[in-house]
Amino acid sequence: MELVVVSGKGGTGKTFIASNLLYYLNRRVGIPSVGADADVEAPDLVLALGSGYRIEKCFEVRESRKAKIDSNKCLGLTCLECIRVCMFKAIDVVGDRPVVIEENCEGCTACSIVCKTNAITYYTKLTGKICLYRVDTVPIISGDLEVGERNSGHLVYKVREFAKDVCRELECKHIVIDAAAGIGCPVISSLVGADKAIIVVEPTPQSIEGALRIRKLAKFMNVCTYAIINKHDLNEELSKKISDMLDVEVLGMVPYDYAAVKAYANMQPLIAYDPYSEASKHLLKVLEVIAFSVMGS
Amino acid sequence: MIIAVGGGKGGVGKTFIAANLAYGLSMYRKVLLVDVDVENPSAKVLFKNSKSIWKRSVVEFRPRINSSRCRLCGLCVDRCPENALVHIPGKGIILIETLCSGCGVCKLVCPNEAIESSESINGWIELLSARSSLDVIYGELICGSRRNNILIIETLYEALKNSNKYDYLVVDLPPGTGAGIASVIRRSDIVIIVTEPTPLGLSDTCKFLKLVSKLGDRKVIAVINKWGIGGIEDKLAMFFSEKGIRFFKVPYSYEAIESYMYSKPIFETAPQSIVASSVLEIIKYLIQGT
Repeated sequence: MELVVVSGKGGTGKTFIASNLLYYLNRRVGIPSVGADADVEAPDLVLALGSGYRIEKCFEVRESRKAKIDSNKCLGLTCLECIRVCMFKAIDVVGDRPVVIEENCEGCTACSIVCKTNAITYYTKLTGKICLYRVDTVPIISGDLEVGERNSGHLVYKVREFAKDVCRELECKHIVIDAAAGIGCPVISSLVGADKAIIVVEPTPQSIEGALRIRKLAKFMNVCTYAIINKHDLNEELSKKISDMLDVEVLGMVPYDYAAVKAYANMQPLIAYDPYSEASKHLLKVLEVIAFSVMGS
Repeated sequence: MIIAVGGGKGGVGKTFIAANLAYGLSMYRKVLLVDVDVENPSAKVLFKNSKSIWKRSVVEFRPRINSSRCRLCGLCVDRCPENALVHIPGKGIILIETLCSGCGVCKLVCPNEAIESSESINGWIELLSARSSLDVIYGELICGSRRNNILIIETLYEALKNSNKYDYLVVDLPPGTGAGIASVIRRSDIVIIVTEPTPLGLSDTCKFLKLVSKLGDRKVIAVINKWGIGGIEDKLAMFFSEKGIRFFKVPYSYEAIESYMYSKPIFETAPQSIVASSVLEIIKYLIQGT
């Protein structure tokens, strides 16, 4: 099955949960599973799983189309039809000529349709890169969006497709997707057609507000959702209310623990680095519930 | 003066730093805090007693097919870059709303003027007055929309329209290194990278820096937030030193967590704390250097 780890707000512990879950499945209970890092603007899942990784396979996705204006053919300030039709504010006047702002351009071709002198052509550039890593024995597919690119949702689809291929090839049972923060394009692409989602939430007003947003999105997309409360002891009272506020089943809570920071600093999942820490004890219980009830291994 | 506050990783404290910088700067100058984290705008949460000045929805183009004019030539279907238009025999041309980017190509190529303009709401922009010399503007994406990048740009442009009324625009960026973030950085005078002393913080900082340098030369400073959590503090400090990037430390402290928990600026909850004075240090640096 495909399980997605999400959170409306960043930094609540998605990668923390995803990396520990992958370690638990592969190394603790022997259920071979693939990890997919769908946070393509800031991919970290490999780093959270371990420093000793190797790259097995990489490929580029080169599908971003961008407009280019030939200034010799362009009529300049007397025309500017291209600016009028561009819905994305992707053309600006610099000096006496319209110029394309690359990061805003969606390559839709509207400008070239209205251009009277055929001054606009298109080029294709790198969208991002996708690699298959091995961290110890755990296979991780990681998407890395080219900086300043816009097709993050498309790259996430490619990451998921590749993860499915690898999963089949290696005869794995599950795919754990570490999604980006937020509710926008890459997150929607992570959720489309996925089996289940887990929201990682902290008992802070900002995190709960984000969790409510992603809860609404998951509902809208018909993805069955659960929650894990991370650092629940920051505010016990608020933690107790989260299940009702989000209208989801809370699978468990993990306390704040200095060991979690240490584990990150040492680039190891917490349950590997310090399995007897307070947070590990709680985390292991949550992971067992995920692996055997939610994922039905 | 436009200051963009970013850093690839989520949860490192971008909003905490941006909102407190804006608050602190507003003790000396006129400031507009611009929250372009449209997927999860939370800067306004810190200013609970704000008054709304205006709020408007942001709409984008959607085609409406006038079936009496449509001759089913299929040109719009062929030219739609998102494959959002399909020709279903017997039913005509159908729009798959969730795929449409609102580019308007279909309307431009239709030879029969069969495509009329319609609209779809992508989100909202609101301007708030937080205190006498501090206003807040933010964009908020509607649930289910993929168009986060364009809303970032809309929110930024709305802020830029009024930029002459303020001494500083402090822009709170979303996590990541995508197109909307690039648009903001391109228009900024100073970029502040907020990060935390963990390997993940460092890795995301590298990617963010790559984006910043791709967009040209501009002043970059760094804030190492949560200094003292026991991660890779020294390594990160060394990293910025070697790159010649001036960095500031904001200590991990109870006061910071408390200010965050109560969603209030640190200058209100703990003005005498080390956290408040380290934010003040950044503010003084900004005012003196600009």
